[in-house]
Amino acid sequence: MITFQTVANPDAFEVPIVEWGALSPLLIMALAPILLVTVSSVVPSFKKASLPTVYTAGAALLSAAVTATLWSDNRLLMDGALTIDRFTLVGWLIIAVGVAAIAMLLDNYIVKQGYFEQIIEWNVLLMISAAGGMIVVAAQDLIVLFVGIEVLSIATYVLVGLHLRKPIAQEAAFKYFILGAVSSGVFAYGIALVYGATGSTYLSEIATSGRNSLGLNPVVDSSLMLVGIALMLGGFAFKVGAAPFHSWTPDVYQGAPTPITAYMASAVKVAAALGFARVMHDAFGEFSVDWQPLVSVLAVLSLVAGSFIGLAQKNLKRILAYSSINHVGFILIAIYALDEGVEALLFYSASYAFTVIGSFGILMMMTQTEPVLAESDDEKMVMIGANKIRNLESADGMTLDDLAGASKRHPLLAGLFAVLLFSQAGVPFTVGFWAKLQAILAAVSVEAYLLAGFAILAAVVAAVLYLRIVVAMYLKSDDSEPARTNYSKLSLIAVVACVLLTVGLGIYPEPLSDLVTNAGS
Amino acid sequence: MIGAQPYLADGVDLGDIVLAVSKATIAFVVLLVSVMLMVWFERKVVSRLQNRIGPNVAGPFGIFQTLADGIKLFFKEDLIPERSDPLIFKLAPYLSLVPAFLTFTIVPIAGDFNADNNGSVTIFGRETFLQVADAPVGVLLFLAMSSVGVYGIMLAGWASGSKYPLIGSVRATAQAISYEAALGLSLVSVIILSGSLSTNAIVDVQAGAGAGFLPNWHLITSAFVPFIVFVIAGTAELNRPPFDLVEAEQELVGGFHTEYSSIRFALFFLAEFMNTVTMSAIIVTLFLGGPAGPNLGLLPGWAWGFVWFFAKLLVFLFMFVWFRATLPRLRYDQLMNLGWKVLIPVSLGWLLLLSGLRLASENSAGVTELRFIDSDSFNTVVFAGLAVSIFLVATLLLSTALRDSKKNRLKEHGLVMVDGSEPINTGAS
Amino acid sequence: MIDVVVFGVSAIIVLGGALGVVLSKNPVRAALSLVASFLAVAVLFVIQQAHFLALVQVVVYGGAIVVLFLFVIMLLGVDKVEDLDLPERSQVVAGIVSGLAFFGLICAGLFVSGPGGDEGNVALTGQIGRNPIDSTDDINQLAADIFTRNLVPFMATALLLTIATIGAVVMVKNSEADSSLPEAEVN
Repeated sequence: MITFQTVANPDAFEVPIVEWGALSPLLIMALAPILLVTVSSVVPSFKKASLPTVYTAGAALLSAAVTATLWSDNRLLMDGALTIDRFTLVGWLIIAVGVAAIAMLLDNYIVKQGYFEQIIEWNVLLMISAAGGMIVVAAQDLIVLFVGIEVLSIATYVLVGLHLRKPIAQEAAFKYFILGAVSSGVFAYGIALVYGATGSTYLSEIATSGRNSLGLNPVVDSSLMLVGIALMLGGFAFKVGAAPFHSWTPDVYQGAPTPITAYMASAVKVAAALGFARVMHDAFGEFSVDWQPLVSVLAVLSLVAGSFIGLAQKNLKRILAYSSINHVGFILIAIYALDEGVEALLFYSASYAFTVIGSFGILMMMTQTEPVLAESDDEKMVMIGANKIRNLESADGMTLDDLAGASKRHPLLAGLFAVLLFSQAGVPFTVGFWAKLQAILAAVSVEAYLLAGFAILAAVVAAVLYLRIVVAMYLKSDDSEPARTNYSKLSLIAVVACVLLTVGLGIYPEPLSDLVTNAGS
Repeated sequence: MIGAQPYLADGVDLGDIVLAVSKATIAFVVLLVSVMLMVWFERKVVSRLQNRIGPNVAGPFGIFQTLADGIKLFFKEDLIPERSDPLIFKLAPYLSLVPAFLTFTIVPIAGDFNADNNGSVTIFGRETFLQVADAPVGVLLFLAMSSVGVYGIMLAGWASGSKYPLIGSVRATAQAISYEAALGLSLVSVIILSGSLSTNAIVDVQAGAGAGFLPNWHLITSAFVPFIVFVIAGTAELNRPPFDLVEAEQELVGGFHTEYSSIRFALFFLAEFMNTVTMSAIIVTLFLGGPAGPNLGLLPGWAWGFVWFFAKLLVFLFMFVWFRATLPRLRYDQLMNLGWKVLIPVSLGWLLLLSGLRLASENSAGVTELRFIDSDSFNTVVFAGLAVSIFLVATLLLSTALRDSKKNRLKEHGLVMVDGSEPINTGAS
Repeated sequence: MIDVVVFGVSAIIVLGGALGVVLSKNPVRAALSLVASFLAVAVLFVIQQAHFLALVQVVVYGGAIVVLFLFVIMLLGVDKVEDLDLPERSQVVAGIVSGLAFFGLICAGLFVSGPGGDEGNVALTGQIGRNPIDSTDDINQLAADIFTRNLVPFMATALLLTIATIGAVVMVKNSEADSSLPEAEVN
């Protein structure tokens, strides 16, 4: 890496070499939406049918394919601001494939809701947000990381509230926006303090940050650094939705359009978790004694909150939201385990991402949605006014009771859903089993037996959470006649792909574990 | 801007303080006198353009009319409306006046820029420029002050506690924000050409002869477009006609200062005319070489600088008065269309063009230090071709998109477009 | 010497303005206190020889952001004391306690240190591992920094602005056909 001195002669500075090839997955994800929004403003027919969906899925898959061609790369880009290594590439792959699947689900959602007005903007924001996530995963500089996180989250705030006819979605977006802005502020303050302690925002320079003339190492001797780490930890914990920073998760997941919920639970969460791990390992590795206890507390709280509070829920999206908090607990365990946990982290993230996309996808496809009628402006105002907040519990989405007899009405979907739920519960012969096993083994390998114990306990409790859904689908009967199945082929393809991956990798996990080996370095 | 004064870097002695204070005082007096004359000048010229005589009683040619008006205003009763916010109501005129004066501090009003001179003179044994401050970021101070000046108008309108002032101030703020972007972008073109933000350096670059008999003014080297954009946006920033929606008498009585009387009204009035003079001075500095001009003998070099500066300034003062006398006021939607859809794209495009051209010409001249594109093939000719094709594509895209969106909007209202211009009602709405 | 005086005065204004934001009962006055605070921060930048940053602070924060705040306050008509939903007593107490706790944490971070003593903190020693900024040339320094070391964040910010624009437009675009046509087009 080139280290920069401040230059006396402004005409003499050297602009970093842009390695277009290595950056191309990111560039495709960032530029495709700009092309889409430009073309669609000129060619109105682009706004019809599934064309934007096909475009988005195509661009995302292209990005994933290009990522795959970079597989053996391991180097710094743009003078050390970004890095391409196995860790980055796995993250990029998860995000890109996830975006493709979510675009297919989104298409179906738009048709079901009869809400075509914003069809371009959904896709555009989805792709740019994903580009932000890819920046987060690859960032080697705290400023890059911060900008990436903001791109990722601001686009997501808009996506959550983009269903302008659903007040609940706008309320969720508003909650998410306010809390997200606060957490970004906390995070930025943490960055400032770390910079104040070390004089650099580059992860590698923070880690080795220059011993000064007295021979002291600022990294080791500074308590300012610890405060900075604590604040950044808080910011990350909010972004990944770890307890006790999880309280936004159920409300926002429930209020958001279901495909966007799937996006938040998969790509956004994975990007934030990988960025989290990267910062903690690369920049604050020397401080692991200080932050590991905090991470373990976050992990235990997430495991407990996710599984136990989830049991008290009736609304399916809220149940899945709590299950995602529970999953965050496992991800945090993998982060806790430092180098031992990197493979577990990537394995868990990858398997979790497509399992959860599939789950929310099926939920969306099963939901009987009448096209939402336009609400009067009056009602929107009521929603924004602080005094009349609607009861979120009953406002939207399916409850467990609605699932009764689902196995008769949608035999195929119910079957697929059951497989995905078993995977989330960690039943053997699904990929979820291997993921949970790896996370627990990582905890054991760093001798965190208590943490491993909690993880096992939480996994058992969470299994009840998932079994309740399966029981509701298969064992409770309902007399209502079979409804028409109104889901599109595209979304079915996406969901079936998720299920095939779940089962296939559950029986034969070697491809995925090969993919993530040697990632920690 | 204490730290910005270079001579404060190594200690301050009495001479420095005297110099700074006297410069500020002189500038303030010059500005006040010029405002007084400007008001008279404006009334007189507008009268002549309207076939009237104008002020002719107080002093020769009525030249003391402003003074008389000012004295009258000072002795009028000071009213503070009951529904106002008294503190902010009193504060607002000063918030308007102070930025108006501060902007003038960066304008070089005299100095010899011929040959190797950079406009500096020696006073009290100190080498200094004939401007109150030569901040290294001088031109940005102008932008900063024009954005701070918005507060005066905005708060005056709000604090009055009445609706006309509020509407006036909301209009003023929207207008200022919209046109500040165009103003800043056309300014950047000048900065690219001069390579500095300091007003003294900007004038120095423009000194001397350019191509042939033409002066080396940025007006010519930036090919007029930034100048035109700057003048239009500057007029809008000043809230002068034809952009005086802020105080449109027929609609808003007096706009933001409806509730003001006496000395506070006088302060607003003063600030407004100060801004006019300052804006003209800034235009002269940025585009017409400020005090730079040939030394014709008889007077010392720095004094010729003042003569040239004043001559150029007069041209623009007359221009603003001329605008007022002849142009009808814009409608609000026309105002916003002009600002956002014409001035900003044009100034942005011109900025890109100028910077690309500069890069290309450096590449073709074999300058190797500043290389963004590592190739000799990016020369002026290639750039010209590139620019033309990008311009064509962008125009095509933009016009298609505009047409498209217009068609959609009309369709929503049950109208169709026949030949791309005139919508007809199909009766479906 | 003069630096110390300027610093003292502007620091008082910064803190006073910040307190004014929190304590003012009138939203407009709170916004004005914010402006005062921002402008004094700009002065602090000037005495650090960061002229460009100072003016950007004035233009962007003082000139654009707070003007928009005021704009929204005035247009929504929430510019009276009664419009404010004043916090409960317990909330105020909780706010003060957590604020003080956070303040203590930061103070501890700055002044309490590990075995090496205070010398380790760059924030206190001013050693940031790079040459101090040349006083006359901070714009060139900034440009060089943006186009070299901070090129990626600079470009990523472009993405941020793109989504902010698209998001803002799409959230306010009401496509329910009640968008009013400019009269020129309706005839």
